Amino acid sequence: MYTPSIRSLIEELGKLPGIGPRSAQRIAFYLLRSETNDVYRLADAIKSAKDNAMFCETCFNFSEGVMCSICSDQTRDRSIICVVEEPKDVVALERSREYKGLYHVLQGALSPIDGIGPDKIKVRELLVRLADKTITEVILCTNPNIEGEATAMYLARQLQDTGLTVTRIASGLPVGGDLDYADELTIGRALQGRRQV
Amino acid sequence: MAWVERIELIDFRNWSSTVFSPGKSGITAIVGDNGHGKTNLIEAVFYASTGGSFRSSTKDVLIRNGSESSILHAIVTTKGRELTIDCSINRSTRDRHLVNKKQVPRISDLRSEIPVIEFNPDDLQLVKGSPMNRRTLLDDFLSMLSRSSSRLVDETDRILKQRAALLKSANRSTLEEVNWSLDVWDKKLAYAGTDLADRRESLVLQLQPLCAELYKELSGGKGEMEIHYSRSWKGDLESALIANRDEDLRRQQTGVGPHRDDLLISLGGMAARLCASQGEQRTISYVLKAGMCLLLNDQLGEPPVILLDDILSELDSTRARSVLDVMPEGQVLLTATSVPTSVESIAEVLRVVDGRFADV
Ligand SMILES: [Zn+2]
Repeated sequence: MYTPSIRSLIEELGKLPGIGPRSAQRIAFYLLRSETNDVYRLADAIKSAKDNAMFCETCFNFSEGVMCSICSDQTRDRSIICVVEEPKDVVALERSREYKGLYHVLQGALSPIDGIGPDKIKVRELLVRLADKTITEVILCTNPNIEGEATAMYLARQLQDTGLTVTRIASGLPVGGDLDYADELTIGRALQGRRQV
Repeated sequence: MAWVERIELIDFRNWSSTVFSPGKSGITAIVGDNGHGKTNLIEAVFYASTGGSFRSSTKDVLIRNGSESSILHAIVTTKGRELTIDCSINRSTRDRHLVNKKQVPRISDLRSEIPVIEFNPDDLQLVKGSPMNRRTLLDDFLSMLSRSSSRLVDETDRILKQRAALLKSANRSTLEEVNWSLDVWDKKLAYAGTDLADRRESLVLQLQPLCAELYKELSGGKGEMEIHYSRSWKGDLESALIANRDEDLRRQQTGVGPHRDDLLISLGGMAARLCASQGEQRTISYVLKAGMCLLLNDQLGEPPVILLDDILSELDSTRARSVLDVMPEGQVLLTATSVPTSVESIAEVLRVVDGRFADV
């Protein structure tokens, strides 16, 4: 049917999230019909993102060095940390321009179905960070869905006797949704209305 | 009143292309021999209104042999609004379900939009079958009454699956770590599970008098039918979960919670599952759904669309008529191999032959 190289392209594309076998086929044919330079540019973008992107060793957001631009920005409020699930949540919160503190990216949420327990996300790294006495408040900003709520609840208990102020982002975000679907205004309000847990 | 004004079927089961416009109120009887496609027609109505089928969990069987997709276009009026529904069920791409030209984000949300109740011969399982049949029925009823209930049902199910996965993988972590995680999921399960059990219980309390009355009417006054919601725990659910934790860890399953509750049905004080005759069980299962039709009529201010799939065949002519007479006045679509004489005069009869309407 297909040559081995086309077959392997379709196979690789099919491994991407949200891409079924039919879409993989369609994308492969689209690429093969496209200008050679356009396709090379895409290949280079993928390669260079992968080569250059790394995680910040402090907050585990995407970074192009050992410390990301937010962690190294001395104008930000270093007494407060906002805990989120994914780098895209940092983008959503930054877009709201409401928040001036630091972040901690867990890189996931508790979900036993997917084999994700506390040891699979950056919980221990968070606890290590919080030993630094400059931090006084932790905002739990995980997604307002079951797994996000469970993660927040777990962290709140872990932080119970640390003397830190622990708050949860206020409700009002679309239930069951992701942070990055909420608009800036909603995120801003949810941040302002956060409550101590 | 909720009613289906028109539904067009393209390559749905054995229907290649047809438009079905049932009467607004009153009974439309779809008559034909078995295997000619009369049930497929009301299944199409059910699919368009709910996003699911009442007799199949695989979508491939819904698509006509040799076709890539099956298309439904329907116009349904409910709660004073006209809804245009466009569905496509596709073998190899994602299904689409558009209401007023917009994709429905959560298909289970549809249940609270369009009230429709279907009856079929397998309803007997509601009495005879496992408690799961009865819980699913209550959850489906709740979902029809409010979207928040429908979400609660999904959420509780998800939490139960998470807790089950945690129990199964428990031996891979330290006991302390497992307990920390279980504390969290128990809290979540207790919160959602109590809410769900409360809602089911209050629904059962509302259904009870309606069902008792209907049963009396249909049985000619013989036997008191009673329904009662029974929880699998006492006191508060979180304490019950914690008390049961060791056992749960050993058996790797959650022993108490809304997924272990039951709807107890009794006839004259005896468990209907054990003591009622086949005929009585049939009446009981009918009464459960008919009671819900009355309750919906009460609470939404309009009767649901009522789909009766082949449930008259077991009844004599007089009983067939009385079964229809207890329903709230609305749109009723029924299928039968032949229409009982008592029903003929009150129904519009359409004949189906081999996936087509026959010229009468
Ligand atoms: Zn950083």
